[in-house]
Amino acid sequence: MRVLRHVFRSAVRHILRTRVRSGICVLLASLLSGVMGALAMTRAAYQEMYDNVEVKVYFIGAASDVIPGVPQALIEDPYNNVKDLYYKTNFRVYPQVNGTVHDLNLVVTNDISRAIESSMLASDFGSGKCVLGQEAAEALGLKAGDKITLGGAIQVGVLEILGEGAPRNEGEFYVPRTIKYTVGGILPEGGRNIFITAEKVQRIYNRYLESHIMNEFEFTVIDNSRLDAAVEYAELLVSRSQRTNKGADYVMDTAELENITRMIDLLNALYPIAVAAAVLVGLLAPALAILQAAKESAIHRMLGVTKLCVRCMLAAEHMILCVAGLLIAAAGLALYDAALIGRSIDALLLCGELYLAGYILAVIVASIIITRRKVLELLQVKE
Amino acid sequence: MSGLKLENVSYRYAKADRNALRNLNCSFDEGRLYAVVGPSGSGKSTLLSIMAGLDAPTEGAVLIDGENLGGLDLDRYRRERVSMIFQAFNLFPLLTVLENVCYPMELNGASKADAEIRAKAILESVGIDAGKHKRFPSNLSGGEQQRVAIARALSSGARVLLADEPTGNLDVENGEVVMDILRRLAHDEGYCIVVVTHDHDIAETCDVVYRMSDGVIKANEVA
Repeated sequence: MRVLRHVFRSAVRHILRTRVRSGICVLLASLLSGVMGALAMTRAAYQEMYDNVEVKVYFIGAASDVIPGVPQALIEDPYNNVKDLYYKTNFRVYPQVNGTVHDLNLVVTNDISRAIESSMLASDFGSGKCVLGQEAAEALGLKAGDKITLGGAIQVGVLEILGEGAPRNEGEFYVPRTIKYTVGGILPEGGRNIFITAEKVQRIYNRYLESHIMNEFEFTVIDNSRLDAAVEYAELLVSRSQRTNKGADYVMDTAELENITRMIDLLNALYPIAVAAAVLVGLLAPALAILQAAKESAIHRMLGVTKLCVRCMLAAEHMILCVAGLLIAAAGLALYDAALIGRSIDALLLCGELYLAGYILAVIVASIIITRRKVLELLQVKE
Repeated sequence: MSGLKLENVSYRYAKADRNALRNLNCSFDEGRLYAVVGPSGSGKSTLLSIMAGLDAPTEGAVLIDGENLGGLDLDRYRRERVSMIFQAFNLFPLLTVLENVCYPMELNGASKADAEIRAKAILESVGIDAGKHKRFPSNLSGGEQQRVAIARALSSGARVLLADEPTGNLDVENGEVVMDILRRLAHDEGYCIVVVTHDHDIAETCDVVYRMSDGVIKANEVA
């Protein structure tokens, strides 16, 4: 205990009486570890930017026969990397009401709110509801709350608007089923459009929709680090579409992602170099300082201080300076961006550990070197 | 009589082709001032190193008060039984005069208060007045620094004092002051003082002169 007290007291006294040199050591430690930490945080920030970029995949000429498979695909997506899937397709329909044939546009979508670009909640237009454009509503004589029954072969433009409870009309094509909707709302700017959701549309057909090109079909990638999976999935959908439309294709806008990726690659290349340089300089600084203390160490040895005690005094002094530098660097980084510290804590801890390990190694090696030197060689005046 | 005694001491440095010390037999008793003189390479530093317990003889034995140095804790030996002073003074630059003198006592477990009391007394005895106790060595003259070094050497309680060219960095006047202190310590207080020097004039003022050459003691002159 006495020895420990002596070691600690000597170390602290030495630090306090060499304020300039000690300050430089602390500053160097804080700068070097701070630079490593800042690089680690910058990498983390760019990685977060990369993860937060929304990469949308837009399909061109996707055939509508992929629609039935899409909801299922969302659940069974083997790549598990797709979200916010949206599609919209239009059919010209010619319903006849009271002897008049009307030229309307049936918009089939999985998200009516998005299709009508309305701020109303999607739940307002859930299953069983439709939205009519103003002109369509006037043509059909319908208002919000009315119930309509749809039946017909969309692909040939035949659509019958049947009144509630009205019997089916059998036209040129046999219509085995009908679907009922409640008019959820009238859209003043909706024109001659009827907006319905797709999940029930298949009921009025005896086979899947096909031979029809969708206006919009897109999804967003969930995990940007697994873009390959999203690309594979997109190509699968395109290949399905190409059975019907040879020109089907997709566009994935990754320009922003590529810029960020370049920066991340640069940081990944620089980071190990910067860490190695910081550790090396951090390792050399205390080693040189200790080697310069060879004569003073020899005086201690001449007075009867053991080698171990001398090494401990040197180590204690420099470890105090190192830890002070690391704490200052940590405080500086926390002031800069405390939230980002949390996200890059693993890398920051690794930086600190590497720096500390290098520092300890240098201190141990240097203190062993100087305590193994001949005492009289260091204390005598050379002739 | 207590003191240091070398019996058939030889020393060879690693990878050296010959001995730096060859079969030395000599004694250093308390109450006397010894000089060891010789040209460069005669083995003076090696002798000093062995007597201080910094090196062990390749052959032979070094006895301190009849005890073989080989069986002692040499760090403790240097803390309690032998002290050294040097041409370059070798004071701790970051400690004050008082702290330098207190240091060996604190190493031996003395409290700070007790150490300071004794240190002040020793400093007064070597002519360093109280006004200089709080100064740092760089603010002292060469003569004053050497006297502080002597005070530090005395503070541990060691009775054997080894001096390596103690007047080498001093002018004649200060050199005489230092030698007077060493002589007083030997004759009046019973210390065993060994002065290693090139200066034959200094050697002539000592009680016993060992002249070394080529690792052996060629002559032993008693004043």
